[in-house]
Parts: sequence; C-alpha cells; structure tokens
Amino acid sequence: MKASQHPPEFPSNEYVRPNLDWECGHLCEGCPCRIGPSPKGKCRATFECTPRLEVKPGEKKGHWTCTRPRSGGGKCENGPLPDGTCCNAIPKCQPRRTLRSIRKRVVMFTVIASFFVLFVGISRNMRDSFINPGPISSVHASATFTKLHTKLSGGDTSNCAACHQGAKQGVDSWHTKAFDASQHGLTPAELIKKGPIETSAMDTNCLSCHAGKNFHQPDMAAQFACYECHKEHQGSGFMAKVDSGYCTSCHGSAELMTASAKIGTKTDPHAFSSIATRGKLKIQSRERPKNGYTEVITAFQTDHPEFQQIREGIRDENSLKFNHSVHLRTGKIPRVLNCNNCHERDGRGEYQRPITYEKHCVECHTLQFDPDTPASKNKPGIYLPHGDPSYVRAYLRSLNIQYEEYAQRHEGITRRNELDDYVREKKVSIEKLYETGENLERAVFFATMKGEIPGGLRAPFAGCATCHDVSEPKSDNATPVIKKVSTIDRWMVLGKFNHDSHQKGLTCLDCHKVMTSELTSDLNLPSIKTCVECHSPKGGIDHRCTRCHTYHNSQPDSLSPKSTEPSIR
Amino acid sequence: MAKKEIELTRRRFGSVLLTTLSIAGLLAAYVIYSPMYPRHAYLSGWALFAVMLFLTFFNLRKRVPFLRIGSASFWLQLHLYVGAFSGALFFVHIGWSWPAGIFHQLLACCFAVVFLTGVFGLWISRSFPRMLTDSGYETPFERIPYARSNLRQQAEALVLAGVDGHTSPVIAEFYAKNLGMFFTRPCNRWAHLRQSRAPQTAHAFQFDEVRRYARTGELEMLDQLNDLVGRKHMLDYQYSLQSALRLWLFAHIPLSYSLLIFSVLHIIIVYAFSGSAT
Repeated sequence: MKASQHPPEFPSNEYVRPNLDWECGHLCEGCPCRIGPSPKGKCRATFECTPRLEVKPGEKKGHWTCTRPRSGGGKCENGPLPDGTCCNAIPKCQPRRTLRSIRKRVVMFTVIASFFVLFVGISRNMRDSFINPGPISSVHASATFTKLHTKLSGGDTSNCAACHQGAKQGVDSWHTKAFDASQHGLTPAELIKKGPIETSAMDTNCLSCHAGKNFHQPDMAAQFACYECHKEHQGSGFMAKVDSGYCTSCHGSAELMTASAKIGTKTDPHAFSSIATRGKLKIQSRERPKNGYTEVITAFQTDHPEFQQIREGIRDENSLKFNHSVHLRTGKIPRVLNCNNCHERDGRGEYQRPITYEKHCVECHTLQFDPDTPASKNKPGIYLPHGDPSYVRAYLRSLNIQYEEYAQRHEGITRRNELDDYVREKKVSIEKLYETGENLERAVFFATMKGEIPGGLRAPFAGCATCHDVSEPKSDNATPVIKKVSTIDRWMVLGKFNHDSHQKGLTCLDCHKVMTSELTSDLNLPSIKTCVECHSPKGGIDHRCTRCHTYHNSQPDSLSPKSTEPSIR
Repeated sequence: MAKKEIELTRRRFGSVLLTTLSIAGLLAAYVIYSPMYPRHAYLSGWALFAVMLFLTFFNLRKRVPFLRIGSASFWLQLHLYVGAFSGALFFVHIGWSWPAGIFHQLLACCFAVVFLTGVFGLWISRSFPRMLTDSGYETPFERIPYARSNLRQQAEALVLAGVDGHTSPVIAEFYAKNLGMFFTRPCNRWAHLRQSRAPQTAHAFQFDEVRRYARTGELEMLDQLNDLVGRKHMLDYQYSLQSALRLWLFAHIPLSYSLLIFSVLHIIIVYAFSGSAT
C-alpha cells in the first residue's frame, strides 16, 4: 500500500462509544444519529432537536426556536413547526450490536454449548465412552471380562465400574468421591511423595480376579498399586509393556533397598518365595544371600550384578564325567558332535530335554565287554545292561544263561549239546581276556576310557568308571557303588530364558564357551556381559527388567491362605 | 526515542530468555524427576490449571480497580510469556502423547485451539500495526464508516457533476455498475489480509477500459475517481487488518472459558476415578 497524499476524513471530535452494546444502524452509512440506541437496542431516533419555546416580554404565545447543536448542523432553515415539533424527523434505524457485544454473546453461547456438551457426554448412555481416557486392553474389554465382573459386582454391567469405585455410582457422587480422594490418597503431600504409588482401593478390584498377584517378597519397603505398573487405557490390544522404571523406582533406590535388607533380616526365611517350589524342576539348592536381592540396580546394562553362579564361582556337582572339549573337537572321537546332538530343546524352547544314555551315549559308549560277540547285520551282539549296578553284576554272574539265550535268539541254536558247546566256547574266550570272573567284574565297573583298572590290570573295553564315579563296595561280596548322576535342569532360576528366541543370528558357542571346557563342574554359563552386548540400548534388543524377571511371585504355601476361587492368569 | 527502543528490545530479550529458561527448566525437571515422582501428572495438571486461571482472568486487571498493579502492557507481556510456558506445561502434563478418549481429546483440542489462536493473535498484533502504519492511511476502526461514507459522497458528487443529460453517461454507468457497491461497504477483505494487490489491479484495468470511451473533459474526472478508489482500497486495507486484530479474540476468549469448564470436570473425574477413591 502506498502512502496517500490525503489523510482520511472523519469527524475526529465526535465521541464514539465502542464499549456500548449497541450502535446506530446508520453508522455503516457514516451518519449515525447523535442520541444512539437505548441500552436494550431500541432505536431512540425522533427529531433532530427539541425546539424551545421562547416567550418575549409582552408576548402571550411566544415562538419555538430550533435547538439543533452546531455539531448537528446548527439551527435549521425552516425552524420548528407551529405546534413545537422539529421539522427534521430522523429516519428510524435497526440498531446493530457492537463487536464487543457480539463477542460477549459468542462467549455466552460457547459457555452454554460447553455445558451442553458435558451434559450430553456424561448422560447415562454416553458416559463410559465419553469420559474414557483411551481404549482399554482387549482382555479387559472382552465379553468374558464383562460377564465375570458383572457376576462379581452383582449386576453392574459397566466395564468402568469393574475397576473404578467412582463409576459404581452416578454422576452426582463424583464430587464427593473426588473430595474423598483429595482428602485421603491424593492429598497435596501425597502428590509430591517420591517412590512408587502405594496400594489403593482400586487394587481390591484387580485382586478379585487376579488372586494372589499381590505378593512380590515379604521384605518390600513399599507396596505397589497394580496400576503403577499395569497401565490401562493405553490402547486396544495387549496391555502396555511394563517399563523398567517401575522396578528401578525401588531397586534403583539405595534408601529403599537398605530398608528392604533390614526388613529381610528380621523376616522368617520361609516367608520368601522359594525357588525350590518351582514344579518338578531339578535345580541346585542355594542359599538366599544374606541381604536378599537388594543390590541397587538402575539399569540392566549398567549396574546389574553378575549372575550369582558366576559371581560365587558355583560348580556343577554332577558325578558324571563329561568333557565337552573332547566331544566337540574333531579328531578326538570317531564322530564329530555338535551341541544339538545331545541338547534337544523342549516344545517351548525354554528347557533342554533330559540327556539319556540310551539315546545320546550308546552309539559310542556301547558297554561291549565281549569283543568276540560283536554286532553284525542280523545280530545285535552281546552288551552289558545300563542302569543299576546290581543288575550289571547279576548279568555278569549269569553269563552262561545270557550266552545261551543269545545263542537261542540270535544264532538260531536250539539243540542242547550245541548250546552247551556255544556257551563253553564263549566262556573260554572270556577267560582268555579276563582270566577270572572277579577280574571281569572289576573291569566292567572300574575300567577307565583307556581300559586301565586300579591294581595294574587292563581291560579290553571302557568300563563304568569311564563316565561314572565308581567306588569300591562297602562290604565283601557287595556291588561297587556308582554315584548317582544328577543333571541340573536350569541354573539361573530367578529369570526366564528361552533358547529358541536366541537362535536367530547366534550359535550355542557364542554364549557357552564349551570348546575349552574339560570338566563336568564347568557351568559354561555366559557372563552378564554377553547378555548386555545385545540387551542394552546399544545392542538394540529389549532390556527391560520384565524381559527376564517376573514381579509376581507365589507366596509360600505355608503362609498363604488357601484360595477357593479360581484365579485368572 | 532510540533509547526507548533499545530499552524495549532489552526488556523483550530478557523476557524471552526467562521464558525459554523456564521452559527448559520444566523439561529438564520432567526428564529427571518424573520417574521419581509417580504422581507428577497431578502436579503438572494443577500447575497447568493455575496457569490457565491466570491467563483467562488476566483481563480482571482492567475490570477490578484494586488490582491495577503494573501497566496494562506489563500484564499483556506476562500473559504472552506465561501462555508460552503453558504450552510446554501442557505437553509435560499429557506425557507427549495425544490423548485418545473423547473428552480428553476435546479438552486437548480446546487447549490447542486457544494456544494456537493466542500465537496467531500475537503474530498479527506484532506485525499488522506496522503494516497499517506503513500503508499510510491510518484510520481508527470506529471511524472507518465515516471515512467510507465521506469517500462515497465525494465519488457520487463527482459522478453526478459529470452527468449533463445530453452526452453519453459512460462514467456514471461505470460508477453504477462497478463502483457503487464498492464505495458502500468494505470489500476485498481476504485479498487485503493476503497483502494481495489484485483488487487494485482489477480496478486499474477497468479504469483503462473506461478511459478509451471518455471525452477529454471527463479524463480529469476519471483521474479524481481513480484517486478516490485508491483511497477506498486503503481504507478497506485498514478495515481488513483491524478487523482481524479484533476477530481472532472471537475464538481465543470463548474457548478459554470452555477450556476452564472442561478442566474442572477433568479434575473431578480424575480424582473421582483415581485409585484412591473409595
């Protein structure tokens, strides 16, 4: 826009009142009347002036004088009419609201509309969906859930009422509920309180279905409300994942952990959730640390303690002699093995199936004490049974019968004299190898992988002592004692682990350094550093606490009240 | 004058710096302390409500005589900077994720509209006055109808003077057809807001057309009429920008009250439906 040579022309001395609600309808034409509309918006225009009667001395009637002000044009030419009315009538107008007045009305309308929207929104039909801050998880939105809580609440079908006390009554009770909350759980002091949100009235609603889920450990310095971790209204589908921040709000607090350790020392040890009660799992018994699990942990990748087994140098006490290195290295055994040949995972990929002699060892460790009766195309050969040592000894002491039975079943010999010849022949062969039955028994039980027997004798095959811890019989004529083999199902029982989910991009040897392991007592567990390589912000894999640990422990049976209600997972 | 401007710039810089530091402090406090204070949403909610009350009723200063502490300009500045802070506080309160429920979305939308109209109002109240001054035809908003009426009267008088009843009434027809309504009411509001010169150009074309048919004596009249049209455009420009300076409040103020009403219900619901309600 260019600057004009001419300034705008308007009556600058005329007083305008933009704060009034109404303005003259003639204003848009630039000629409003001087009096303007009434406060209620009525046109007050009559005449341009109110003539004044002037009576000069000696006059009876006097004459009317125009009183139009100078700003209105001064006295008019025609003057008032004889009856004293002004000759210039002002045309009536339709007064208009000023901008300010319109804005006031818009404000009023908006306020009324807002109340109307709220009134409709919180009416019975729309209330639940209107005030719902976000979709609830599919589980809590399901028909099954509705049916269950309706049954528990005695007929209230509102899903909100299943959790919120406030929804159990009408809108008219909200302000009392709100006031009640502000006086108890949500006082100003509570709002600035550090640490986790403590248990609340809402938890009782959760626990009516999720019975027994309110136990973590008896040494907790602060109790959690369910909704502290389990956030609802975060969207349909599964509930939002539990963030590690909720765990570290306690476990990352030195103050709370110290308090927890103190409580723990005064608590009955039997009150703690025990790992010994975990179904039929075979695990190594361990003592709970003196202070419990109260190390301060702020994040898995930074200050999570090393796994207890590695930290405390725990060894495998299994009596079986097994050398991983020998079994996995090429050239040392007839066949190269890989991990999967022995370690087979269960259907869930969580545990390893048991390793058995019959399935995993027999191929190489045949227990063939008689090399002259080997296996051939149609004959299985003669072998010692695997299992109870007394059965083995009984087998050895009944070799005549065993050979005779073998001859009948596999050699096709049925005549008595031929059977006797066969057995005699085999006995001669055995005597050549072992000289006496006593030597044979010692060879079977005590021969090592190299065929060495204590006392300087040698055996042509590897006996029980190759793999087992065999000791001398405790009395004469007793069976040698073989220490029972006990393979642990899982070493780290405080966390969950799934081998299948770790298969992608990893081999067993990436975590388990077994190529150099020569002793059974080697646990071969990976260090926490191996886990952190992936489970960290740098590694990019989920590193939340709940990835491995579960908050909800089962209370020891001796301490928990027996629940008759079936609980939901 | 220059000293005053420097002082103003320095004061503005100080205020902006203080607001920026406050927002940065708020965000830092959120990142550091929110994990420790599980009920931080309540705290930020109450703070936001207090800020909204302050922002909504800052006009009270004008209405209540005993509250006249500080100048109107000071309170307006405070309104602006506290308003900017409230935006950050709002995002902290909602946890950086847009709410999903109907009522909460309504509440959040209300806040967003009030905030954005506030930003828009700030922008136009800072930029439009300069434009209005630069245009050089400054007229108080309430006086614009008078000025318009005056221009119309001048234009009509000019056109009527050229009508003699004998010659072709080209200019009179042109006026009646193209300029009659133009002088009667405000025109081209959006074009002026967009700083477009299209309406002026259109009229210039029309004048060029008419000039071909005008007699020698009428050319001067056309020039005068063209000058009046130019002044009317400037008056419309004043009207458009000054209207905008008033009309943005039609969204900002009413929705501020709605926001307060919704906020009160929000607080009641949050407390009544909290885990602590028994």
